[in-house]
Amino acid sequence: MIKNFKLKKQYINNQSGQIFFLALAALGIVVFTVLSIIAGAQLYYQNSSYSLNSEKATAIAEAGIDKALASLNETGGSYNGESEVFFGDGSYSSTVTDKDAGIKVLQVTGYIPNKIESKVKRTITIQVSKGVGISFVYGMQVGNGGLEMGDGATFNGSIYANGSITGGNSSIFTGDVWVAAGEALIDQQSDCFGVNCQDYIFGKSIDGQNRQDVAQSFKPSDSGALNKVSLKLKKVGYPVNAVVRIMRDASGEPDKNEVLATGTLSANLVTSEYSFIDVAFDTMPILVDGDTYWLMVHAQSLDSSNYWVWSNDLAQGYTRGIPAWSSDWQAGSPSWNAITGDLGFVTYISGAGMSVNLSNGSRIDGDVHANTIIGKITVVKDAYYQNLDPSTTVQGTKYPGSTDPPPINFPISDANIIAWKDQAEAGGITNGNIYSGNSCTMTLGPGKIVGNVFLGNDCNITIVSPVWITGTLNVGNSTEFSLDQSFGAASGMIIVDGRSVLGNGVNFLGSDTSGSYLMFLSTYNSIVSGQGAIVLGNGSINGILFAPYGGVELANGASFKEIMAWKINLGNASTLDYQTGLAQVFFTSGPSGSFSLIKGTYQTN
Amino acid sequence: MGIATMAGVLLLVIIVNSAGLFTEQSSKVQEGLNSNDTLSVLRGSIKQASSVAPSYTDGLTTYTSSTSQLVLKVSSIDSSGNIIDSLFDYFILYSDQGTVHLKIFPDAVSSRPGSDRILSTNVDNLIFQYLDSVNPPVEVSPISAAKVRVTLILSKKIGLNFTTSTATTEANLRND
Repeated sequence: MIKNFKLKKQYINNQSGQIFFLALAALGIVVFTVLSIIAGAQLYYQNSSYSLNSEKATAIAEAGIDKALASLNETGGSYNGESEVFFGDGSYSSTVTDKDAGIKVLQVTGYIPNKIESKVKRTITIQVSKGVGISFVYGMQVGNGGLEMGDGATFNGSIYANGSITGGNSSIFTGDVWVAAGEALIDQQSDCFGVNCQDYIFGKSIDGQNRQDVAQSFKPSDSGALNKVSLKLKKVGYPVNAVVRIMRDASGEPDKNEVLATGTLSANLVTSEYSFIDVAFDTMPILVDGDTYWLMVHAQSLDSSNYWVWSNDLAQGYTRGIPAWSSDWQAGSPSWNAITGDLGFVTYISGAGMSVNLSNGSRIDGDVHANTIIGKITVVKDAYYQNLDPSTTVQGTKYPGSTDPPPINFPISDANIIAWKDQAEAGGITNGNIYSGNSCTMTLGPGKIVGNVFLGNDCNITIVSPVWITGTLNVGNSTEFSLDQSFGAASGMIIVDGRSVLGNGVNFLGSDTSGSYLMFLSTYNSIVSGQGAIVLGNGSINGILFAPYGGVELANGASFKEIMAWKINLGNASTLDYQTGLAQVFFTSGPSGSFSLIKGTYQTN
Repeated sequence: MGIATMAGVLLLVIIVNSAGLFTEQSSKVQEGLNSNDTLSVLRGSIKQASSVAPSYTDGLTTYTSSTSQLVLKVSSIDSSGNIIDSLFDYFILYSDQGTVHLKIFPDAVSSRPGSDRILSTNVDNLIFQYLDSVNPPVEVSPISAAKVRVTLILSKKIGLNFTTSTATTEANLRND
């Protein structure tokens, strides 16, 4: 018994301490696990902090860009940047350099927490120019006059037309064809005259009123699809694009839950003088005669320096609606406040549906979107329509009952044209006609030419923009117009009020710097006269052609960079090629113009 | 002997649980890091884009902007990093077999190198939403987008369970 006890004791003594080692090993593993998890959490924290700081540095750099742009405009372009400005959780430094005569490069670096001890830095570079930046989304845009094609004519590319497309035998479209809803017919309008015209400011806080949303109600006198609206506006400073909504009425106020359509009020189309500015919508809501609707404009911000002004008729001449303002149209219970007067606007209802009407043997290689498709033609892809001629062959899918495409506005407004004309006039006025022989070399502008201009063959004409010719323009063959090289990457224009006849091989060229274009702008009204505004010979044109109220008659083999016109005629057996739209073209606007961002130049490093 | 066995089992349980905890937490940390880095690259790409392109074709493969693929049209750059007017490179972002890819197809003239980069692994879903500039934003077609919202869902199987993390970011097309 004693022996056994001793043996057991000896055995226990031999095993003592093993638990300790096991516990030590387990503790080591637990400690390792805990430390690893802490290290992982630390790594994650550092990574997240870095990501957050990166975003902060980017935001600070963007704030610095805004500040630099505002400073450039305040100082008339003499601002050169700043070494370090503290802002928020960090700081930024900015530099301004001249890229060429018309363009400046702003480079701003945001630092966290500061420039010397920066843990994170982000650099943003943009380019700015003095003038109006305009995006030409479509290489070709046709207004309500539509497109007419002769027999055997070929249109290479896709087209969006606000008017009907008609074509002779064997007309060919190689892309998609879009024809918007019918002609825009005025339904409701409000305007003011003389002393009854008052400014109504919004997008700014006035006497404690945060006027961010302004609306005007109206009752259509006709039922139909709302084609577009026009608003009588001007701007102060440089407000950003505003949003326009069509809303139903709820107890005498805009119904925030019944937005029927949304469109964009483009700030570029508005100038410092009043003008009716067109706004198109993403869809065309059907309005019912006698029902009340609201046209509401939402300013993106309240800004004491950059805001909108809506023309207000104190005489209250419009009897089918009232105006109101709100600080927040989306609030739980929005508060709408009455405005004395009637705001200037026009509503347009769509008229009869537009059509694609092509003669025998014609072919459209892409899709067709139109109210009505007429003719013994072949649509290679799909057709979206309300009416389809039984003789039309659709090889793809038919979509009967499709909604008409909404109309699209031109990217240049009447207000823009008036402002450019004012600048031309400020450059000096030349009275009388101008003549040249062949092979001439000449510089025109900046200025207004009150008279007609006749130019011979093979001339080289340098344009110092803007040039405004009040009469007609006749140009011989192979004459080239070039924008003066001092414009750098900026663009310029020739405005002609009368008819223009251009010979074969006439071309419009920019300043030799990439991104610079010369625009030929005709204000001639073909709707009234029935005659073409621009008659073109054969050739390839590198410039931009724009005739908002005019017809353009094209010869064989025409090729364009960008063409927009009320109506386009394409002759028999001719071929039309055009390039894709231009992302952003900057037109200089004289010494009084402001610096603004050139679209497409935002870069981060 | 009994005490030793119990202590041994207890220690084994501690070790197993510690290892499980370590694996699970490491996985979560890795998912977090993946999310941060991926979304940062996505935001930067979207901000620099001129537009969302409807599609891009590379040989026989066509990439189409949709809820699962994003095709960005980004200005080409020269050797100094300056933007080349009217020339564009294409960035394709999509998930494939649990990974997020960023493919860059530069224009022939562009100095931006072409690449096919894996931004993240363990991807369960990658969703793109195309929004307009209105406040509050409304979903629009890809070509009308002014901003893009990206939702990245990462998931990894740890033992019998899945750990899932969801991250969302939104970026404006600054060059639109």
